[in-house]
Amino acid sequence: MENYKTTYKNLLASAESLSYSDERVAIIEKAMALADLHQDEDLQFKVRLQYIREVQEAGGYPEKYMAVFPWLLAYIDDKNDLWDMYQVLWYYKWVTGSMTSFPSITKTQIINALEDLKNRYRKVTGSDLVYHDCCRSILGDLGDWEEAKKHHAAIENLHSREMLRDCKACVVNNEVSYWVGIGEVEKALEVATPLLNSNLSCRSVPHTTYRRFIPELLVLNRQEAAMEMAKKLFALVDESDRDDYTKNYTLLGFMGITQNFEKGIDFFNARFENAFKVRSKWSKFHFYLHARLFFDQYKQVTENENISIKIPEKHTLFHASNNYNLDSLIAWFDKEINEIEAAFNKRNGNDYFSKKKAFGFSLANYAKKMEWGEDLAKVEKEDDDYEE
Amino acid sequence: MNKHNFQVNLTGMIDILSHHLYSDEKVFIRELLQNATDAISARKLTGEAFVPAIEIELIDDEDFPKQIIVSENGIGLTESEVHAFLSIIGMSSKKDELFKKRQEFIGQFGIGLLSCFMITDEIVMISRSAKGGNAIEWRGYADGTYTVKVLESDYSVGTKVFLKAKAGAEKHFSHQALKNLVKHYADLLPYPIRLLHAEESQQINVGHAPWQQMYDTLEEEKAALMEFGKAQFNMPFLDCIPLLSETGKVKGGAYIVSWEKNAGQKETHRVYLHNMLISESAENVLPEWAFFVKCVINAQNLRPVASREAFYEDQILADTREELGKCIKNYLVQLEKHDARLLERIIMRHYNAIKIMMLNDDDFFKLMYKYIPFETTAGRITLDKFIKQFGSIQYVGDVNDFRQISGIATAQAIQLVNAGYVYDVEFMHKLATSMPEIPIIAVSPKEITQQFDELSPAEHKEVFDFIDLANTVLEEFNCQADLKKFEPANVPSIYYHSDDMGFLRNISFSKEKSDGLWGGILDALMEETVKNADAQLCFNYNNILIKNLIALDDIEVKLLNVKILYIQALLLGHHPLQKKELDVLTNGLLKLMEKVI
Repeated sequence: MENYKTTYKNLLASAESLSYSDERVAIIEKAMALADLHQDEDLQFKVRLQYIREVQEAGGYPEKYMAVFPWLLAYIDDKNDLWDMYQVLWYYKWVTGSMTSFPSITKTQIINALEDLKNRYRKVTGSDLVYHDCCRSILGDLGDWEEAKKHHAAIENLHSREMLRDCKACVVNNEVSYWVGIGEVEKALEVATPLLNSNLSCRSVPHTTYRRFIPELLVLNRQEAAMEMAKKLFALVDESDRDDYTKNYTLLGFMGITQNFEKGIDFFNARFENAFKVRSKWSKFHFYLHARLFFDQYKQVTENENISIKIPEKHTLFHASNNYNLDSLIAWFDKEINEIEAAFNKRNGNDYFSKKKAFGFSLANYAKKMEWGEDLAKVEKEDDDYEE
Repeated sequence: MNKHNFQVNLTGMIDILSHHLYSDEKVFIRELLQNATDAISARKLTGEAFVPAIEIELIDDEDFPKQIIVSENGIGLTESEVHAFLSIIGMSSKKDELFKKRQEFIGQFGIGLLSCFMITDEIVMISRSAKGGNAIEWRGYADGTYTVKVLESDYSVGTKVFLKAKAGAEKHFSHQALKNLVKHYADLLPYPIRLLHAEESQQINVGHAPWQQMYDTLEEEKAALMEFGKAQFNMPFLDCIPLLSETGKVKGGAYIVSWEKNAGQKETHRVYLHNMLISESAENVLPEWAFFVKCVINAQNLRPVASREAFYEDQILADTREELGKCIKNYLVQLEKHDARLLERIIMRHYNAIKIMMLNDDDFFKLMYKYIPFETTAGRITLDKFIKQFGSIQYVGDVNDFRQISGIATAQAIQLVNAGYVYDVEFMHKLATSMPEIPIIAVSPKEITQQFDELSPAEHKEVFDFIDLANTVLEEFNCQADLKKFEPANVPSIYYHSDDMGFLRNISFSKEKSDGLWGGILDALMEETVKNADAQLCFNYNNILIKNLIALDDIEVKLLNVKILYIQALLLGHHPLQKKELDVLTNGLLKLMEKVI
């Protein structure tokens, strides 16, 4: 009978042969269960670190790594090993960033987690830089831009490099998000120059940069620039690509605005099965908003009553014929959007999500037929953080 | 502003290049033979008629330091070429116009000769150019200095390199060592390489690869390839696959290993460049799924890195890799037509690799799916046979679930396929798409238990209180009790849970170690994300223990037994136990023992 450590190693080896995916995550889950079953603390620690990475890379389910992360915190507090702490603290950024995606997690809990992050980083690195980075992003996600500005000011006054800070591309990208968030789009474009010129890139950048700018460029009436960016973003979407679903949603909405309906339907059918399955309310909100935009544009332009699309079999909307009445579909999205909007506004204590909804709906005012043309050549994702 | 030149410590540079660029000091012979081959090829390009020859003379007189003389009758170097190419690191004679015309040259970087400093402190080179002029003597020293002298004596066209062994390098200066090195690196070089020692002269290299020969029959060709592979790797193989790539100008053979391989156990390959061995451990020449073969290839058009021990990861390599992958695929397709038995043997050993190939190629999938074996309740058989026998496929996507319920399913005459290994579920999805007429359904243990026999109304009445009681006990574990009749009767219960319950259990695991802040966050997460946390413990009415338990009057013992049965079912399903479940295991068993004693 095989020793459990051999089984564990074999599981990890078999995961290696797959690209980042749900299947790979499932294999690591089995390895984790094995480590837990035998209460092998060393393996339990290592596999959880790997699990967080795997879930992040596969994309779509941040709650999975949030579920295991506290175990790691308790472990490093117990062992007090500096190297272990470094590894866990790196992931703390992702975990706190994901907390905003779930309106049941209160603002107080998020602030307290950030406070805990700050104390831990201070202890290990002596710096508040990463704390301020996280606060700027997270408070922005909560719609508290006034507080976010304070942290932005703090970042400007600190030394820019610190070992546990995000890669250079992500640092710039985060700043871009900030400027867009406070309405300074031109400033954001200026800051984004090295990202848009491909001088700085990583696994997430410039994908996330493009999807942030596409709606903004539409509002600025720079439709050609928006199309150029959308095509570049589309070229970055690949078979296993799900680490940031929101870029797919943005593309779908854009395809609706520019009346590239056939392309949008193909894209929807190929890429959106998991969008219906995610648990994150943040992800659902943005999906429903952009999908609604697409279907609404489709209905208005084609004057069709129905649309033929694929929805997962186990979803409440599913119909075996794959034919859906557009009014009913849009009504369902509206209901979901409104419920999530209310939940986030309540948690955040403001109307930030109402503004997001209004912005999303307003994109319909910029609808204009634009030929998509030839797709750009597909671009391979970077393996690691990369900078010139 | 003044311009300055970088200062280079030549001794240090030579040390770095000699000792750190190359992985092994034995490569000096490869570099010398490389230069010799290139020189001969260059002379041939001039159109001059001559008989190419490379000689390695070993002088191992007891009274003198051991010496090797490597001679060839290639194009040679003029005095200006000696100054230009031998004295400037990075200046290669193989970059000028003559050499650019043909892609036959192995060396590119102008640093190969420096590898000799790993085994000698002084390189003496005498060269006479085919272009004319006197012979030139160049002496290079490990301290970074060199001398150049024009010689008056008559020398034949070509180059001789003299190397005296430095302390510690004598092991390379033996007949057997040199012979082994030549065989190892240069066996396929097209020019005869002779080893001269103690008045004996022997040609060492074979001079060609089996794929460069003509054969009367395919069987002869295959036998030659197999023999070659066995000699190269010192192991037997199931079969060999001829490899050919136009892009990389690659020819060779892929050898199917005879033992089962894991996807994570990457194979390494022997790669020749222009017939010179440059790597014994190249990993990236075949697609990732080809981990069940070892290959030997000779490439003409792949770019080696400076150490010549790997290739640049560029588009040519990527395209070459794809073309070689197609060769392997086509071979399997052809095997299906001509030797299905061998194909079955290969698939039995390497079904994981072949599954990956199938998942990425629809046509290949349709052809090969019938050969892939699966663990099923009817034994280990192919899906083709399973479908012929049972008309449909019910598969379980988790190995533990399958093992838990397979015995029970069989007893109920329900046939299942174990699709719990890597790629299996994807495989099933693809099968369902390519065979829409065949029902191919994923089933969970819960769905299987729903096919079990229900109790009669009288039996329901009998067990009603027991189910109620069991639910009070199992409530703390978020589990519900059920009771059905199923075979085999010796199985008292089975447990299953939904994906959401699995997620909930992960959260609970973390909560056990969490402080107040994270405990609260996890509670909030659980509340929002866990909607269908469904777990059930299904008792077996046919089981004697369960029947006795139902009839038992002692409530305390009854409750304890329900808990222990729950824990037993978790362990059988390989579910990690939470703290409260561990407590049941330790304390519950003790209490039961106390009751009995």
